[in-house]
This record gives sequence, C-alpha cells and structure tokens, in this order.
Amino acid sequence: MKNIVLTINGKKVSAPPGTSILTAAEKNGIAIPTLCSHEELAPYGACRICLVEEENSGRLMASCVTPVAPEMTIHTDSPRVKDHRKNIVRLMIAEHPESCIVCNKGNRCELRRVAAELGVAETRLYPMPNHKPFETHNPFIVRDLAKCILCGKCIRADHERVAVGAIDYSDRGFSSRPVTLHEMPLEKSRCTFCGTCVSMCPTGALSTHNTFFTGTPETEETTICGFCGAGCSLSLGVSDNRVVEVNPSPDRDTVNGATLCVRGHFAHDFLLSPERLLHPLVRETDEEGNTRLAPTGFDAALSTVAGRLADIKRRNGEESIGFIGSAKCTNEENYLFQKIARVIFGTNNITSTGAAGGHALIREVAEKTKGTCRVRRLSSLENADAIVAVLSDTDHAVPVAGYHIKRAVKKGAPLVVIDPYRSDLAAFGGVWLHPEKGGKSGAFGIDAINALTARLIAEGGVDRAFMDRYANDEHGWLPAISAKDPDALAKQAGIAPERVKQAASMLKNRKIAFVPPCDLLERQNGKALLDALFNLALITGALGDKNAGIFIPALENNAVGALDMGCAPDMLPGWRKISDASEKESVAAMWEAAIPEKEGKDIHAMIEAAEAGTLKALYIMGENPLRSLPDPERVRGALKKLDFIVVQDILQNRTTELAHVVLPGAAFAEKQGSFTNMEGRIQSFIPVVSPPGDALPDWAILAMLARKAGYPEHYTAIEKIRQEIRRVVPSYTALGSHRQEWVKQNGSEIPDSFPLAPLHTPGTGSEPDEKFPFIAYIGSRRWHLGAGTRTARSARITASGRTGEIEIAPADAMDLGIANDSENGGKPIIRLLSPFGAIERAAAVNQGLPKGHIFVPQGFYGNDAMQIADFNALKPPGSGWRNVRVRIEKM
Amino acid sequence: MNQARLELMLCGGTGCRASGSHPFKDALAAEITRRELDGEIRIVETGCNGFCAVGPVMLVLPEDVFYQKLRPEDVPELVEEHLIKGKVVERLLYKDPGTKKRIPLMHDIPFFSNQMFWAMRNKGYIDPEKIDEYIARDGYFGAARALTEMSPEMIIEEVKTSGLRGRGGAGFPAGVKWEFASKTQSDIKYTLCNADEGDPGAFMDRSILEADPHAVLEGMIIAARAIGSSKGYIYCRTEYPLALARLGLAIKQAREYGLLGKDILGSGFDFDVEIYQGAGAFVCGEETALMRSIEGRRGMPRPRPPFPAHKGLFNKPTVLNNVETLANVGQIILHGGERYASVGTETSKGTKVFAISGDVNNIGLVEVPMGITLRKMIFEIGGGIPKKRKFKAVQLGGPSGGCIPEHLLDTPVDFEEIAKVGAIMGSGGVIVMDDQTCMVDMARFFMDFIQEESCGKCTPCREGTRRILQIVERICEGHGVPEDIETLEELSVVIKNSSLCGLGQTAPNPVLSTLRYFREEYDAHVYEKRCPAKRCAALLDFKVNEDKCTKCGLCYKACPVDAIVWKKKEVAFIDQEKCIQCLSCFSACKFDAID
Repeated sequence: MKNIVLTINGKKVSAPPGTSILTAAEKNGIAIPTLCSHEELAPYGACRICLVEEENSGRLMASCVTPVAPEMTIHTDSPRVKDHRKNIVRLMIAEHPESCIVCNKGNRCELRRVAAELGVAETRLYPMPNHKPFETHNPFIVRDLAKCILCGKCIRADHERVAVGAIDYSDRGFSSRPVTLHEMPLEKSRCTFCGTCVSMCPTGALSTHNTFFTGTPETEETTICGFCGAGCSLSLGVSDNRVVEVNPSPDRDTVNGATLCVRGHFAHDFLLSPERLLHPLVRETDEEGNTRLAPTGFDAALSTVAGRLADIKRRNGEESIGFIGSAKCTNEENYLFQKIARVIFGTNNITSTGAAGGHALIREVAEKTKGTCRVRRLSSLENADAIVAVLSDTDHAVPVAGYHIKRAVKKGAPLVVIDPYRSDLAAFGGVWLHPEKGGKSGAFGIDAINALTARLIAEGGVDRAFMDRYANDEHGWLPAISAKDPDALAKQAGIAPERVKQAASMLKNRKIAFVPPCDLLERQNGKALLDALFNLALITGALGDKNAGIFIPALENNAVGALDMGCAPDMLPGWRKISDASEKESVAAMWEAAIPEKEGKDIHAMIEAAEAGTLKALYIMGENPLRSLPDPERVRGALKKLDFIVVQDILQNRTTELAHVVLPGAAFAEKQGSFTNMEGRIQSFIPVVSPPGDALPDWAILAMLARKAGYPEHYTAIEKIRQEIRRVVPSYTALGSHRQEWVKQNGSEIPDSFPLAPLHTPGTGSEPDEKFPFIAYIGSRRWHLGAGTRTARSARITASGRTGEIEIAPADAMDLGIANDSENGGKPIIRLLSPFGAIERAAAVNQGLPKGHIFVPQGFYGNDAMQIADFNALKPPGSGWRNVRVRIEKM
Repeated sequence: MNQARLELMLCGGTGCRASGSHPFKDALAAEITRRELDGEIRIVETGCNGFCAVGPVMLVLPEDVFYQKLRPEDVPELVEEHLIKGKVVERLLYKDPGTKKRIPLMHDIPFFSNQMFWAMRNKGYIDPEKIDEYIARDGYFGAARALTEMSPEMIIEEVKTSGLRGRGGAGFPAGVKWEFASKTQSDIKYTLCNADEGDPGAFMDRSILEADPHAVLEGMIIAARAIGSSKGYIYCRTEYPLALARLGLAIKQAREYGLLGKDILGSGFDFDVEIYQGAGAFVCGEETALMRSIEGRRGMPRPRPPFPAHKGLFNKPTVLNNVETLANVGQIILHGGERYASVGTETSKGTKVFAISGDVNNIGLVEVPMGITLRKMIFEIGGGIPKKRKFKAVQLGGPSGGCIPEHLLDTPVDFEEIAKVGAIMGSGGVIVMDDQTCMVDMARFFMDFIQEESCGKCTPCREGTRRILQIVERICEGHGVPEDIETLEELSVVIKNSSLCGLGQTAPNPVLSTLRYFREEYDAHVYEKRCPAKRCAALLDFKVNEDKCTKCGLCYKACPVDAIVWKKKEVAFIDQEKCIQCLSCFSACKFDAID
C-alpha cells in the first residue's frame, strides 16, 4: 500500500497506512511525550499525554492510537496542546505522593521527567489522598500503588508479553488499580516474578526489592544474561562496582525484548554472594597432616597447576588427565580450554557438564537435520503456523522461549501440548494430550506422537510433496505406522481418541514448530521420542519452513557455544569429528600442533576411570559436578581418588572443597566474551563490573596457564582468541565484529534427503514396579537454573519462600494420607527412595500430575534431588537419568 | 383466539408493578371469575403504558376507557358498574390538573393525545409475552419483507431514506452505520443491541423491552440481514429482570416460529440472538466497552479507529444499535422510509421516546415527534410542575447531558438544536427541576455519579472527574474560593477535549452547562456563602424567618426528629441541638420561611 503523506509541525512526512501519528513523528525526529505507550505493547491511549492537534478539524487526538491519514496537519507542540498536557500532568502530580527524594525510581521517573519538561511544579489543586496498598513482602517486587498512574503497562505486559495473567484492573474510576485475583499478595498469585512490569513501570509504583541499595544506579550497561540458553540482553545498573539492578536492555532486536524471567531479573544478586572466591587457593598440608586451602597469588597457583599436570602427564600418560569445561563459560574460554587440553596436555579427555544437561539433544537434532537447522529464531516460533510442545518445560527452564510460544498462541497459532503433566502450557489453551486412562508412563510421549502421526496420515494432513522429495524411508517406517489404527494407538497412550482427532484437525496441512524439552535426551525413551518427533516433522514438511521445524531450548547460557568450541571428547571446534582424519588434520594444520588420535572420555567414563584409578587429575572449569551430576556420593568417591584436582570457579562449593588448587574466575558480568544462545545467535559483551578480590576472567587465567605450561602463543587479549576461532570455526567467522552475530550454516538450506527413523515401540525402561511403584521426574522450576549452583546463592531466590516440595498427584496423596495433612496447614515431610538413594523433603499436592507420577524440582536443598538419580544412566547413549522409579515413606 | 367482549389491558410494567398492579390484577381476576365473566372479558398484562405517574393503570378495549390509580378495593365497583352495566366509573378516571375535569378516553388525555406512537406503537395494546399478538399487529411483516423481497442494499437504502438516527445518544445515522458494516468482508459479523440503559432517570429501553420485545428482535433480524450477520447479542443490564425475562421468552417464541435460527422464513438466511447480561457498569453502554464485556473481559473503552463496523466484537465487523432505534426498524421497512421521514425536522426524523421524571406532574414515558418544543413536552404532555412551583431547568441527556433553562424552553427536540444550547439528546432522559433545586448541588450529584462510573482507564476522566467533584463539593460545603470556578472551567475543557471515550468527553457537561446558565448560583455559594435554592445544608442557618412564617405548622409535621417547636398561632422554632439538617422542613414550607 502507498505511504500516507501528512504534515507534522510544518514538515511533510510520509508513513505506511496504519502507522500511528506518534510513530510517524518519532521516525522523523519529532519527540512526543507519553507515559503509557510502549513499542512492544498494543496501542492503548490511556495517559493522554501524547495529545496532538489536527489543524483542519481543530481536534485534539491521542497520537499513540490515532493512525495517520492523508492531508493531516498535525501540531505536536502548539500552545493548546501544551496547555492540555500540562493540565493532565497536573492532575497526575496532584494526587502523587511527594516522595521523589526517597523514591527508587529516582531521576529515572518518567512522570517527573514529563512534568519537568512541561514546567508543572505547583498544581494549585487541593490535596487529595489516594490510599492504595503498599507491598514489600516478597523479595522481588515492591508495589507502592499510591504512585501508580494507571498507565496499564504492567497489566498489558503481563497479558501481552508474558501471557501469565497475574494482574488486572480492579474497581473503577479513581479507585481503580492493578490487582491480583482476590487482591492476594503477589507471591500468592500466579505471578512468576519475571519483573517485566517493574522495568516498564514509568513511576515508582513498581520497583525492585533491594536490601542493599536504594536510589538510582550510577551507570547502566548492556550485557548478556548468564543463566539459561535464551541469551537475554540485560541492562545492568551499576553503583560502586556492584550490579544493583537489572532490566531488559533497551537495544533493538534482542531475543527477549522487554521481557525477562525471575532469574534474569532478580537472581543476579548472587554476584555479591559472600561465598565468591576472591583469591587463588592451594592445598597445604601442615605438620599434623591436615590439609587446608591457603590463599596465594595466581603466579604461584598456576605454577603448581602447570607443574603437577605436567608431572602426572609424564608419569601416567596423557590419558590420565581429564578436563571438564563449562556451558556457563564463554566461547573464547571454552575454545582455549579444549585447546590447552588437546595441544598442551595431549588429551581428548575434554567434556563439559553440558554433557549431562542438553548437549545430547543439540547434537542429535543437528545430526538428524544434517547441521542445516542451526539457526532457529524465537521470533519465528512466535510467528509459527502451529505449535506442538512435547513434554515441554519451557516455562520453567527457558521462560523467554515460553513467552514466545504463548504469544504465538495468542496470535492464533493452534497449540497441541503432549505432556502427562498439566504444565502451564497445557493449561494455556489448545489441545492437551495426556494419559487420561492409564497407559505406560515411560512410553506416553512416543505413543502420543505415534497416535497423532497416524491420525494425520490417515486424514491426509501431511506434506506429500515434501515427503516424497526429502524423506528417505529406509526402515519402512511409513508403511509400518500407516498400518496402525490411530485410535488404537491413542488408547495405548491412554488418550481419548477424539482428542487426537481434534489435535490432528488443528494441525492438518500446517507447518508445525515443534518444541521438545531441553532435557529430552536425559529422560527415559528420549531418543525414541525424538525419532518419532523428527519423523512427524519430516512428513509435515516442517523442516522446510522458516517458522517451523524443531526449536531446541538450551538450559544453559552457552550450551551451544561450548559444543561449537569443541568441548567434547569426540569433536574438535566447529563440530569436526576426531574420527574424521581429514578434519582432524585440517585443525592440526591450523594449530600447527598434533592432535591426539583417540577420542577422549566423556563425563561418565572419566568418573569411572577415576574410580578405577586410571584417571589421576581433573581440571574443572565453571562446573560443580558434585552438585550437578547424578549420585553425588559416587562422584565424590571418584574425585577423592584423584591425585590432583583444579577447580576454576566463581563460588565456593562442594567441588572446591576437594580441590588441590582453586582458581577464582569471573562471572559473566565481570568479563569480556561471547555466548551462543539456543537460536544460534552469537552475542558478544564487555565487562560491566570488575571481578571481586584477585579474581580474573577465566580466559585470562587460561592464557596465563598456557604460558606457564610453555605454550608459545600469548593470548594477551580476547581478540587474539577470537581471531583464532574465526579461522578454525567456519560458522563463527563473524565472531566479535558486532554485538550480535549469527552462526553461519554451511551448505544449502535443506539437504537432499533426511532418513526417517524406524518405528519405535518403546522398551519398558524404568517402569514402576511393586517395590518402587512411582515414577519420578527430576525437573526444573523457574526459581533455579539447572542444579542451582548460582541461583541458590541469590539472596532473593532463597528468600522467596519457594522450597521445592516434592510434588505428588492428588490421588496418590489421598492414598498415602498426605492430602489431609497438607490441608491442616503444615506440609508433610516424606522420604523419597529410589534404587540409588533417598531424600527427605516436604511434599505438596500438584493437581496437574497424573496418578503414579512424582515431580522432584531441581536446584533446591543443594540439589539433593541428584541423590535419587542413577549415575549409570549417563552412560551413552543415555537411558534417562531424570526419570527414576521411587517409593514414598511417610515420616 | 376467541374474541372477548372487553379486553382489560392492565399495565404490568415495572412502574405499575411497583405501585401495585399485581394485587389489583389478582382481585380483578377473582371477581371476574366470581361473576362468571371469564368467557367474555379478558385481562391482558401489558408492558409499560408510559403513564407511570398515575399507576397502576388499565385501558379497556375496544372502548379506549383509561382507568388510573387502581386499588384492589376498587374491583367490585369497577366490575359491577363498567364490566356488567357498561357504565364508566367516574372516580377512577384521569383528572386534568388544569380543568379539574375527568377524562374517560385515553386518546383525549393530553398526556397521550400529544404523543405519536411509533417505536412504542404496541405498548399497552398487546401481551408482550405472546408472539401472536405482536404478529397480529403487523409484527415481523417488516422482517418478512426484508428477508424475502429486499436485498441488503435495498434495506440499507430504505433506512437511509428514513433518516433514522441512533437513539442511544450520539445520533449517528443507522443506515450509514449498516452500510459500513455490510461493505466489510468477513466470515462472521455481529449484530448487537445495546440495552444497557444506565442514565439516572432513563427507562425508555426498559419499557420498550418490557412492552414490545419482539419489535427489537425484528429490528435485529433486519439489521443482520442488511449487514450479512448471523449472530446477535442483546447486552441488557441485570437490573432489568422483567425485560430480561420477556426478552428470553420472545427469543424462545421467535425460534419456535422460525423467525430466528436457521433458514428464517425459508429465505435461506440464518440468524440467532443471545442475551448477555451486563453487571452494572455505566461505561459498558459505550460501544467498545460493551463489546469487550461480551468478550468476557473488563468493560473498558478502547480508542477508535478501528470502528466496530470494521473491527468490533471479537475483532469482527459489528453493528451496535440501541433498543429504540431497532424498535423503529420493522415499521420503517414495512411502510417505507419516506413515511418515517415525513415527521420531524430537517436533520432529525421520526419520533423520540423520552422518560420524563423529576419535578413534573406526569412522570412517565412519552414518544413525541421530532421538532416538538421542550415547553410543549414538559407542560402539555408532562402536565407542568407540581405544587405550583416554578420551573427552573430541565436536564436533558442524563449525566452526560446538560441543563436547559426556562428561556430556552422553545428549543425544538432536534439533535443539532439541543446540542446548540449545551445539552445532548442523549438516550432520552428528561429530568425536570423546579425552583427548589440548587444547580451547584445538581452538578455535584451528576459528577458524583460520573466519577464513580469512570472506568479509570484514561487520566483526564479518572483524575479530572474526581477533581471536579472535589471542587464542587467544597463549593457546596461553603469552602469555595473564587479561583475554584476558574479551575472548574479549565479542567472541564481539558477533560472534554482529551478523554478517550464518550463518557469522559461529556463528563464535565453538568458543570459546564450549569456554569453557563446558572453562574450566579456558583457565585452566591462562593462569594456570599449562600445557597439560593436552599439545598446545600452547610450554607443554611436552619432558622425560621419570623417575618415570613405563617405559623402553619407544616414544618413541625415534616420534621422527622421533633426538632421543631411549634404551637398553634405561634412562630415555629428549630432546636439546633436536635436538628439533623435533613432539609425536610425546607421542602415542607410553602412560604420560604426557613433560612
């Protein structure tokens, strides 16, 4: 459509039809004040500050909600406009508390700014008390609604951006205010404390609950969040070299826009934890044979590390040393780390705990799609034609991805949720496929997808052309599944056949975006489920479409990057297989160094080797295996056998207690580097504060170590590492040239053919039995990221009152006589026993769980949930450590 | 249907029910049975007759004899004299307050003879709970014509010819509105009826729904046909239980008769209607708020464009018409738009229904041709001001309207003319005020209503109406300062120009129009701390003026707390200790003897 030409302040401007006057003016450098408009929220027209005058009609109109029209002659600053604006601000100010001096919004208050711009000081109106609630009880958000100007941003952010629905208006007129259901405190509402409303609030009505800081931060700097794999852009408020406030970055084209989650917004106070490591520590033995970690300098500590490791290598061979990198550290650090392992110490024993947390899924999907679907933008997910979420924990694990799904559904995309649990997403809308009538718990996902697939095939709802062109059915999957009765498959899964029909009719002939959970391959039958999912994606043509395909959430901020950098025993940087001689040679040539022949040990094999005494030393960077791996007692036993452990980390933890040398590293806000998020977006950042004490950026520590160990290259600046990455990793050729880059995909968008996986009839796995009649799932709750190493040190998270009760189905609670107890107020303590261990915790009824299922949230109580998990389930191909048979004992 | 010798059309509207029409009906029915007249005399409970002031009322057909203020004890005489002997019962007839003569026939009573019944043509003549009676009076003939003989374009053309304008207040031409919606392409369109009548003192829509619900349904069917809509909602407030019951029944009957649902009258056209009950928010009468409310969300207006004709309910093209507008549509289609347009003024055609209340003799519902003067409406139809008091002003258009003083009473009923004098036609509420009304106090009353009903979304309305109320209250309480009047004027203009929806844009009208015509009363309150109408308690002395007191003792009788000391032939005295300042004595005193 043709642009519309109009005049604003005597200047001819043009704008596409439908543009608001406000936007058209802003695009042309004419600023109009406003308090309720936000580019990510639908036009609203509440505050009326953005009034402008139209000369021809003489009308005043709110520019944020009035679309441009031909021949309009707009004045944004006429005396009449100013007079009206002044009066509106005067009305606001006259009932606003006179507490600017002690207000947390301080000089960032938009109301104050607008009032100052318009010259409103004295209101000449009578005092009019406006008594509204003041809430400070939760550790995240302070609500002082007397300062609320009813711009509605919080409510709209809640509804439109994060789709939670915790707050809405209550009452009318002067008494109206944003409230939760029944005006309960926020912590008793559905609020997830994402804090999106806090950052949008133009006044001090909503502010961050701070126990250690009041006022306005000195500076605000942009960086990337170091928690989950969404890779949100943050704006960190800094005072006295401390991060005192977090908001979404105002930059454009960020993954999160105006949203964040409770961790990203409020958990960064872990940076100030008293348990931060401040000095290098080396284990000393006193005369009585007691050992202790004593502070020292980096020079001495690194000499010890280089010396001991060289010694062990010389005596026990390269294979006796292992390296565990980190999905939390930067690309540059992981690259340097694996290079040190491979080139200096000559071993491929390099992995990361991403190996137990999401790497398998990323690798499997990359393999299935032949590396062509690396870039999957969340904005594409938001524009999806249809969404199938399978066992999806997105709302808790990667909340920002969850917002994108919900927004897609709000835009009208049909949603099918396959999940035995009534997740937030299952409750959100669309069709929820769940075992209403029994079915095998471990097989539910596969059975459900097979039923849906068979139904779609039966109804001709698949993309024949795409399938014929690309699908290679070497295992005869299509005839096999076509021969099945969809209704029988549905019943096998315990789903009512009509529900599957309904889901199929919604998905028919649509390009589907599939969202598996980030931990899919850590669950029972995960691999078979992924096969079934992939086949469905292939026959519906989802892989060929921009807004469809498989969207893999990543649990940790740099899970993708750590893999790309070659933190894997069988892969060099850039996914080059060690088993591929030519790939290996090309890297060796670039490095001008030999690369060890044999593939190294993965995390499971390293622990077994430590137990067997063949592994002598471990260098652990940014990981806490004693907290994050299954069966921590076994892991502890293995680590205790080692001769030498180096832990490079930011916080004191159980693993540092065992270490011989502890090197204090820097957290994400304290160093330069880059993370690659779940979308394939490489995001570079610079330090916002400096590390505490003597701590140094991890890349700097590694660079010093390399020098100490005699490596000739001197990585004095991060740019030197980046130069090398750009050369060695073809998909990272643009690393560091801009704040944001995308992983480059090699080859054409779609390869010639994809193999269809065979039809799976899942094995029994760990189906419950008489001794352990329940099946537990160890999963995420939004308060903690993964094992909770950092979130558990956040004073706000720990004060939130979220205690991670073991969640039990209502029917089971009734059978166990637990339901009654919890009605009496106190939460009953139970002991949960698996074949591998036991934990004791409070129990709570979760109405969304089917009978026989137990949910154990991770990250709480020092992540004790790992005590019931099976370490051997880590052994490739992995049998799903997150699912485990359990029984309950009442305490 | 057996033809009865006499049909007793007893009003069963809300007003007459309140004044006791049901006990009367029971007594009447029992007496008729006792006298074995069941076969020849039929009692019909109708919807609102309109003459609520003299209720319960009953019309005897075919004779057209009109009885008023009926009590159960009147039954034996009425049956004996009129129903059996055929003699009119004189004492139960309407007495003209001017000539003091009893008038037996309804069409001779000035209240009725000056009216023109189009939208309310069936009121009092049919049993609203019987679809056959509606059909017998040409009901659904217009819909039949629209569905079987006319194209949507022809319907729209006919309505445009009639000049019918929206009766909800804004007066937007109905035909034009339909044309917009008909031209918008969509898989589904909605036809809505706004029955969320909320103005204090307005009950036109309720009465039409109670008396003739099928007329509204017929209008909706025609509107739906014109725009190509298959689904309709009637948004009616919960506070109208009788209207809701009758509407529900009418919808059920219309479905049974094939007038709603699939393939109406074999035309291939599908349309059905549902009732949606509003929960009592005034702002839900605003069209965008009403639609949000039907969507199940909080009723809050949104900016336009997009206009509902393009994106309305559930973001689909929607037309919303008021009850009275729709009630006119069937007859316009049946008899042609030109007949409708033959009545009225240049820009305002047809008739308009008003609810007259306040200080006026004939409180009730009237339908007048457009162009009639306010004076005629208030003094001839309305019967003038009671208790020989003086007319002071009339509030037209509800809280969002304005007051019109005596010297402008010859303003004709016409959208534009009324707007010129600072009021609005509105939905048709007419509140007549006598000289005992304080105009500042009146503005306070309406501002209190408006600020309470503001939805709170936009700043000028939320903050501004509350602020105006605060200032007006201060003036009424004697705390006013000269700058207050300036502030009122300043804020009023801002609220009017900058509010989001119609509620806010008209919210300052009570203050603006009283300031325009009765500024001296504000001045008296502010400068002299005096309330000329003696209604603002804070500005009164509560003392008897000995010169004016006629020692009649009326005040003594009126006082609810025995605060007045009075003996025959003595001047009354008010005991300040006991006085609760309820103003009863002021109302009672005929001689203005209390200060």
